[in-house]
Amino acid sequence: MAIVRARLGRYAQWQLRDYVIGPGGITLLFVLLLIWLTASTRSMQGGEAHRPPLDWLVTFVAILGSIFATTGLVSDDRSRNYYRFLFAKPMEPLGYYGQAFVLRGIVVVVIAAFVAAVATVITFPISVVGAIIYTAIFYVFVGGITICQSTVWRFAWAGSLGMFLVSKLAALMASPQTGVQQPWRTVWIVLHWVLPPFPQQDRMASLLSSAPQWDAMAGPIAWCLGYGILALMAAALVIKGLEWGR
Amino acid sequence: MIECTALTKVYRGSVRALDGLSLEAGRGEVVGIAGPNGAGKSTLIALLLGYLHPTSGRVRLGGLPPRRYVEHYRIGYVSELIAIPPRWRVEEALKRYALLAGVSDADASAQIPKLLAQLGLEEHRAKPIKALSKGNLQRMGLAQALLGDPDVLILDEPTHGLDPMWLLKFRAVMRDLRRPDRTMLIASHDLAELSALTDRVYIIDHGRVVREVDTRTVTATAASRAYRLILSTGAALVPTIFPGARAVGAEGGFELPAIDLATLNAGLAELLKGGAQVASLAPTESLLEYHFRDAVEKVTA
Repeated sequence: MAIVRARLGRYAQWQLRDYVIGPGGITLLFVLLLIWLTASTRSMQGGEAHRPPLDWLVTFVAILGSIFATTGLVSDDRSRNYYRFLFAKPMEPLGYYGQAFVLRGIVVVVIAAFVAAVATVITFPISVVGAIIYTAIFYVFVGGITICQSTVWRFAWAGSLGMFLVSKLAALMASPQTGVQQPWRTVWIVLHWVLPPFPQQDRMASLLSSAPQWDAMAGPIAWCLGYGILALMAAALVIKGLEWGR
Repeated sequence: MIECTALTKVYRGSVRALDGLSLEAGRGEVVGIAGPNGAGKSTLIALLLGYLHPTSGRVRLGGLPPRRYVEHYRIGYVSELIAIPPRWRVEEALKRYALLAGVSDADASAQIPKLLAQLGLEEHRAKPIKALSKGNLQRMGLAQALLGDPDVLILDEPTHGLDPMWLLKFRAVMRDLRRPDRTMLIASHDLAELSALTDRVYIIDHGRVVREVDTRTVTATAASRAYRLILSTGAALVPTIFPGARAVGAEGGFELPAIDLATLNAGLAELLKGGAQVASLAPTESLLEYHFRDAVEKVTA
């Protein structure tokens, strides 16, 4: 008997299509709407009309785009029983989801690069290369956390958004300036260190500028990538050993 | 080709779905799995595909652990529940599954139209899955399983939702699928279908094989069975020759109580000697139905 393998490379077009006509398309439409709203907003400064900056939109794509690209990636197939026919074919679930994860990441990065290019034209310059790197780092980090959750439950988007909010709050409350008393401050400090490093996002903002401060960003980048890679490894382990159901 | 040895699966909450089940199916064989609801059929199939891991015991497909086999060789699987994304269109879905089954473009171009025609899906090729009727969806499930002409076919309730016309056509399709190097395993509630299509049937209950029936053997069982007898003349003789016989249906129709073959033959000889004419004689249940009832009743008792 000859060994056969699924033609996953050729199947990429379908995975890409599923994403683009689904969450990817919605992300792009939302981004276009926000660009249009921003472009039509002008504030007066020194007698001249200024449009607000768009760097926040790159962050929006990098974080929310990554969450919506990866939530349900595994859990939808599982809860809707699509896995039954998919994984009766000659392929490993890990390869199938790995490819989908990468393809979706590429689209998210392309959308972020598009935002940076548009921003450069209509407001003020954002480094397109910086936006690509920034979004790729956040896709590994946020997408990794979200797909990891997607292997075990359907509401990975809620989990990731919840972690985002709580980790931001923990960073704030753990700071000595907020005056939180012990033992609560210790609790916030522990949460700040244990939860995904979303607050590091602020320290990576210079990636979007024309003069990124690599020295200051090395730590945050390593932390985010490390967290994301660990989450991806955990997701891979779960997918490998997962019981798909009756 | 398919081998399960002392297979046990205990779900969380200590539900014992399979309890030391052993069975095998060789190349060229069509093996049936029958059992009441909750007997463990679906769990067995999920274990055969590697979707579940056994608590103890061993499963092998072609001598390999299930996932290793499934990930390296073609297998055709129809699940009881046909779950295909509702937005996919019929032909598109088959193209997608063909890629995943590792079928070349040339083979897919030949196989997909053939399967659409064979399974009566040609006119639905452009429809989204969500627009298909239950029967069409079931045929779609079978079509995707046959892509790539797999050597192992595992069919879980493959006729679920098919209308009577398609039930007959399905049997013809199944007969065509039989070949010396292919192993087919069919789990079904439909015992008549299993009798017609399989070589052997494992009757399972409470997670165990309670009987193995060779459906190719047409010789009747020595055990007592009930019969339906229709006479064109001599109906008056029946109550004396077969005490307990019950008149049913049209005049001359009787249901004989459970009797062994010797008693049946002796009674028939006496009827014929008395001038009766037999129009029809058939067991009230098929051999498989008899074994199923007998085996499951014994387990329940």
